[in-house]
Amino acid sequence: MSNSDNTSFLPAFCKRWQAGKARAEALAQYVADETGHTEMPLSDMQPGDFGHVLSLCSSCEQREHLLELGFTPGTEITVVRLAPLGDPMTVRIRGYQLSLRRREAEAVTMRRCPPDFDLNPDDIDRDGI
Amino acid sequence: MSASPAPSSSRPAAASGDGGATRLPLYALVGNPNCGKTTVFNALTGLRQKVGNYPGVTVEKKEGRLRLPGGGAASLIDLPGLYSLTPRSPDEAIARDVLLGHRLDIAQPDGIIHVVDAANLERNLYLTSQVLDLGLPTVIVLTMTDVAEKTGHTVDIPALEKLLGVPVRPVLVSKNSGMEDLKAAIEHLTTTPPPPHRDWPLPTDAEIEVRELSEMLQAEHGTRPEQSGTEAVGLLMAESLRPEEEGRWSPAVLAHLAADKAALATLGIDFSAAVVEARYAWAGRVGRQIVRKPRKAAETLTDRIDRVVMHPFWGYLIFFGVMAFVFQTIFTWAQIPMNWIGSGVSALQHLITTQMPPGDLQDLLVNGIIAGVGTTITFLPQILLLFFAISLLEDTGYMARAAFLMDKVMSKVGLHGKSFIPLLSSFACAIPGIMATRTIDDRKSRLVTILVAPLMSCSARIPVYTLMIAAFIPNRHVLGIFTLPGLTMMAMYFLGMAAAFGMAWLFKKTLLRGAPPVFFLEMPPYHAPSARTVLMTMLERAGLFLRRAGTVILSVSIVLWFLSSYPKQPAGTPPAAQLAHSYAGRAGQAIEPVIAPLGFDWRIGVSLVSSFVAREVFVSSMGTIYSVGDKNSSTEEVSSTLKDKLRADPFFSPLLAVCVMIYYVLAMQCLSTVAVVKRETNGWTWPLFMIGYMTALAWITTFLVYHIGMAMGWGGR
Repeated sequence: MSNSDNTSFLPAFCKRWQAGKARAEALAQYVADETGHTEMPLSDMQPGDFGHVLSLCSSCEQREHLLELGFTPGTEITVVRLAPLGDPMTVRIRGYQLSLRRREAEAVTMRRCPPDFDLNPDDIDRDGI
Repeated sequence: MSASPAPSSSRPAAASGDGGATRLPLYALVGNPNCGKTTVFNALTGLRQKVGNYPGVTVEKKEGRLRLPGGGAASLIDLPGLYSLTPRSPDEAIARDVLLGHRLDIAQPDGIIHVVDAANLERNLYLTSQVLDLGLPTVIVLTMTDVAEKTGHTVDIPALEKLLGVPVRPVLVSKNSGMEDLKAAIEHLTTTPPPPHRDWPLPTDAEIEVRELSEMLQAEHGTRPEQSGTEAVGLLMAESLRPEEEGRWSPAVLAHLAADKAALATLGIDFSAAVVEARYAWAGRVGRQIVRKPRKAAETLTDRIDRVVMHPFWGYLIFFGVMAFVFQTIFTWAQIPMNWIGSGVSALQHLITTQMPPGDLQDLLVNGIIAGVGTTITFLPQILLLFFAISLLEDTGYMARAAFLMDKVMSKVGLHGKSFIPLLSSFACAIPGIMATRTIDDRKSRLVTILVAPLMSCSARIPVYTLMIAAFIPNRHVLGIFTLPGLTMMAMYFLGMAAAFGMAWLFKKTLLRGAPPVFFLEMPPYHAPSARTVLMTMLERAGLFLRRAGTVILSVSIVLWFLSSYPKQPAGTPPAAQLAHSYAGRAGQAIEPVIAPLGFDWRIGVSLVSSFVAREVFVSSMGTIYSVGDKNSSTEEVSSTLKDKLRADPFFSPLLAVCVMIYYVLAMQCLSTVAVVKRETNGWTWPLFMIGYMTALAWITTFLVYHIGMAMGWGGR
């Protein structure tokens, strides 16, 4: 039940392992700034990660749709989980859970908070305006 | 939809129910998906509702009648569940047009009943900001207050009423609380003042453009002042106007609009983003003022369930368990009532045959009308049970999880996670499967799902498979535990599945090419299903099927009865000769040159033509030709003796039997499916295309199998 374009278990396993390594390398390129925040696309955030929307791609197809779903700059987003096959992902945004494909999540640039970030909803201006 | 010449001037005169108008006040029910809107609609209207389509589109139109405590009544229109009134999907465009009074078939509603989920207030308030902007009298129905309380959220209702300027009525349908208050508020809706002016300021430059354009709309088109702002914002947000919008506005307005957009662009203002952000800022402010949240969000029951249900191992185990249950329901359990209906129909046929003098009228009644009605209602148990299962899954919140788990697999062939259930259901019958595609929002994905659904082996093919397997596939054991007949049956199912996925992939690559469908899906919190909602959905689907497809199936059955009974042969002609000389028989013989390359002869041809009503007719038709019983005999009776006759016929061989089966796996041999596809796609283009591509696929595949088989020397017996 894994990647359906692979025929047998072993190559599938190797491929996934390689993909995992490539992902790890991709993740390594995101460097945290002095406050511990990291700028990265939502699609590369991991379950449990938390951050704020920084910007949306300026001219992509789903820009307005994403905005209307609540992805406005400053909005808090927590990644809840990735589907067992790695895609789509579920995020918590504005108090509800939304699933979207990583392809669409790429359009959202996030400012990921450091893992020990104290999450206190009352202190944050969630509208960012 | 052509343009309306006089765009939404003041509301129609009859609107307020004054002036001696006979029309009832019309209220629109608006809300997010998953907010409990359907439950509220059912509770308000009971069984006094009817479902139809908006002309020209596949958006469902639900209307109902509501009795008010004061003795009056009101019409209620249930708009599709929406996150926004920006016309992005057909659903949203229709809802917007209805609410703004732009549709010619529906008057502008006199008021709005807006359902808001208390447990998800901030997101719901985004739509609320758009609803209030319409300037129509509005009452807000606050649902799920019990869910909100469980997670420690308390909603300050008086404060919410004050902030929004409209009445707010909390309702818990399952506990039957708040309904009377709500009805009382609806009763006073016509005299409720419209909500105050919008409370979400835009950047000054954008604000000026909105004001200018709305004043122009009031002057040029007589748009109501309360509504002009929302029209102006909508026009400024739209990247390009829909064709029906273009014709609605005067050239002066359109010119002004173009100038406004250019001005905003030079100022560097992204108008859409500014509007969305301003609305969400407002929603956030309202939310913070009226919802008290716990300091630290506790883990909810939904989170705990999801940890198991979405688990890489347990999640799929549960998923396959649920799917096995759905499949079992429609495949096995539906057979029980289907058999009752089948025996009821044959008892009725028998009764008429014995009580009525034989003749054309008796034949028409028994083999045309009753057989046609019988075919239609035989589908009912499957449709009822499938929609029972689907609405149960939808209502509990599991459907979204199933789509989430399957999305990656389905996306490989360009489909949507939601295509899975329709395809699975098609194993029982393509008709409920195709009706179930309504849950797929993406138009292209839905169309592809409809096009490939009939390739999944449905239960009507089983009689054909079993006849051919029983006659020609030797009952040998393979690898100890498997038998050859069982493996053949399985191979047919796999062939259908492979063809469905292959064709889906092909369609997405060619005919229905486009960006992969977007998958934005809310994961609603789990909750106990409402028996009423589940039951009503079931009945609604069954009614739709009977009204829409039933009529087509019945008339086509009568036509096919005529074709296979006329011209009449002299009395005493054996049934086989009668069938051979009928129009259908002649058609079967006429197509012999076309099917000869597949190894088929005219007898199979006649059966192919007559089984176009339903695939299982193949068996009784072959039975008639081989003089086993007549067309009144049941499939089982015919099948058991027919297999011996076929085995004795030197024309048949195991290879030919396999070819017949393959043809039936792939060919569009089902008029009921065609009727449903016609209804669901609103036209003849796609059903005709479906017949075309499936017949071609079946012919080519069978041709290859037959000739490769012959060349390999498998043609013997």
